[in-house]
Amino acid sequence: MFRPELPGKLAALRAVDLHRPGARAYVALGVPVLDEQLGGGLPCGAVTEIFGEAGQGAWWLGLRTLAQVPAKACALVEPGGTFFPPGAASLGVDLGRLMVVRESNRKHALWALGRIAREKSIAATLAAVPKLTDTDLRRLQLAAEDSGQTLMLLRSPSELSRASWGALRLMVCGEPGPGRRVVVEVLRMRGAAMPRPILLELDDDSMAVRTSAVLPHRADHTGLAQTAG
Amino acid sequence: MLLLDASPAACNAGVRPGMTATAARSLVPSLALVEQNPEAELADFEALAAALGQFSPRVHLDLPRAILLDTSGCERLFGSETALAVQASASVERLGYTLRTGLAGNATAAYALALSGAGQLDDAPVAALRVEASDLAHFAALGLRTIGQLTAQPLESLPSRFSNLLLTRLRELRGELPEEFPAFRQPEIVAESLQFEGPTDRHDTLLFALRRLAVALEERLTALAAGALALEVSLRASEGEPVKFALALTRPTRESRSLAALLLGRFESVDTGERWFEGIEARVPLLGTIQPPQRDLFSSRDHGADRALGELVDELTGRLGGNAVVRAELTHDPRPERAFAWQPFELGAAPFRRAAPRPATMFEPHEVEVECDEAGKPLRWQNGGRSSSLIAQPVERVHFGWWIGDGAERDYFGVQDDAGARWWLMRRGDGWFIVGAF
Repeated sequence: MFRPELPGKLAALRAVDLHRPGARAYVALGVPVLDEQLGGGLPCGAVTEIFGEAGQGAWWLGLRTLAQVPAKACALVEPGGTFFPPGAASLGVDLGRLMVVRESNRKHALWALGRIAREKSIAATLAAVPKLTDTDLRRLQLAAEDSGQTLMLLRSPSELSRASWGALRLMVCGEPGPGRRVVVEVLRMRGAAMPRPILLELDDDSMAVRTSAVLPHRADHTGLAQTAG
Repeated sequence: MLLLDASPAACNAGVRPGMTATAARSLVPSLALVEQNPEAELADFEALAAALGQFSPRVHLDLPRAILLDTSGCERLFGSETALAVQASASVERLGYTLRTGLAGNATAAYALALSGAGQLDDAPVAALRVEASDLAHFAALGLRTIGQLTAQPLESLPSRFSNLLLTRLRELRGELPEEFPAFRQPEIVAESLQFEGPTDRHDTLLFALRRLAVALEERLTALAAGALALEVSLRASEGEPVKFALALTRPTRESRSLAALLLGRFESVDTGERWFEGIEARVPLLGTIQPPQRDLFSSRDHGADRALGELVDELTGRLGGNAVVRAELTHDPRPERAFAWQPFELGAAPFRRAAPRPATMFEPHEVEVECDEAGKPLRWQNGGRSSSLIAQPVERVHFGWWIGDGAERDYFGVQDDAGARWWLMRRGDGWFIVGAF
């Protein structure tokens, strides 16, 4: 049944669309093709979920984003204790501006992440806290909206089936074969048409992006995107 | 037992100061009587005097019920004398007290205005001059009700009828006699305490008390133009040792909001057990000067953001501990596990330095079986039940002095497996280990 108030509600929803030009600021990743597909980069004031298996490039994308944040403090919360600072420095992250929370207790780490996400003096936060619930994600999304932070959550692909309050969901996969190649696929982008996957070829030494290309949608990835809904 | 004071509701029912408790109870059977506690009153007055030090360096206590501030020259800092009085009232009200202020050119006049609540000195009742009871009786007999009526009388005619105290008060009122009050000295240690009405184990009561203490500390620290660099809190238990906790702050802090966030955050991790508490005390053992930020023409540094960041660090360290909020600093040690050191977080404390290619994460070495080519470069590994061919980068040999032990030589390879994942592989002696992921 047609409800007359629906068009108005849809218009209100579109008003906060992530992809609307001028509606939101972004942290550009410095890769023109990727930034263009993402509407400018990773959004400020929103949660970006980055999925990927170990070694596949999720950490690379998160740290590269931190390296692109201009002249403001960033934060990293990782209760697992595996973060290796020289790896971040090799990607251009200024360690003097990176606040690292070393807390192995997941509950305390989650509290710290929530507190940091509310902080306007932090420009971007990268976190790898496992088993985030829908409530946690909603709380973090609201906190990021309030502070204007770029809040990146590194998540395991096993958590893909969970619902998300984040504005952007990315899957990062390494490509087999010679050379260092990474595919970044958008699984969900609120308020925008699904961009196509991007293939990035990285320099072996500096991990800088040498070339990039837009790929066609892949059948298996499309299925993944539907799962991630 | 005599009544010293009565609430407005009690006064409306006919209760008056000076009555016996029995007489007052006969008027109002439900009257609640509170026994005077001179020690507690003195402590409260001293705390108020310390807080009011933010409005004048010259604070005097005139017990039992007045604090005198010589505000000469201070009004400019607050806009006007009236603005100063308004802010002082607000400050005292934040601490949970009500204040009657009197603002005048000398203490006796200010006293009379404060005691009477009159807008003009001439309209104030003569009782506000703090004279002897016999003088008041004479005033009543003569029909002198206000100070204006009294000061209209010739001074020469008064000595025969009234006490010397009245003459002194009138001379002070005219500025003919200097007024002297003992100076109040700010205590060296900033400390605030709260005594509960009765023992409590309620969490919300303790949180409320901590917030109140934060407000009181802010007033005290403002008076000293200082901030807290450390905090100590002690909860007095009904039985056994008090529960204590301490906090170290990265920068001088005095805003009650920040102090409360720190105290509450730290308190969350304190185990109070099943104990009941009778009171709580907060001390500032270490003070730091708070200087207002200077405007800098050539710097884009955002002092507000710096301050907010400092508050965040303090709040996190207060709850998680000092070692939990850090920054990494690269070292020159060739061993990867010692290639950096954790330092307390301070924005921009170290210049940016780019490192050689390294993995983003490192973990405990995980041994794998590796097949190599003739040159010793890894070609394939067996990791648990999975086998994968490898594409390896050139070796990076880490060599350090034999005297360090720990195996004086290691080889590291960046390798990529069949799935496109990239790992850091270490060879030590004859063993191969996965030590990191890119």
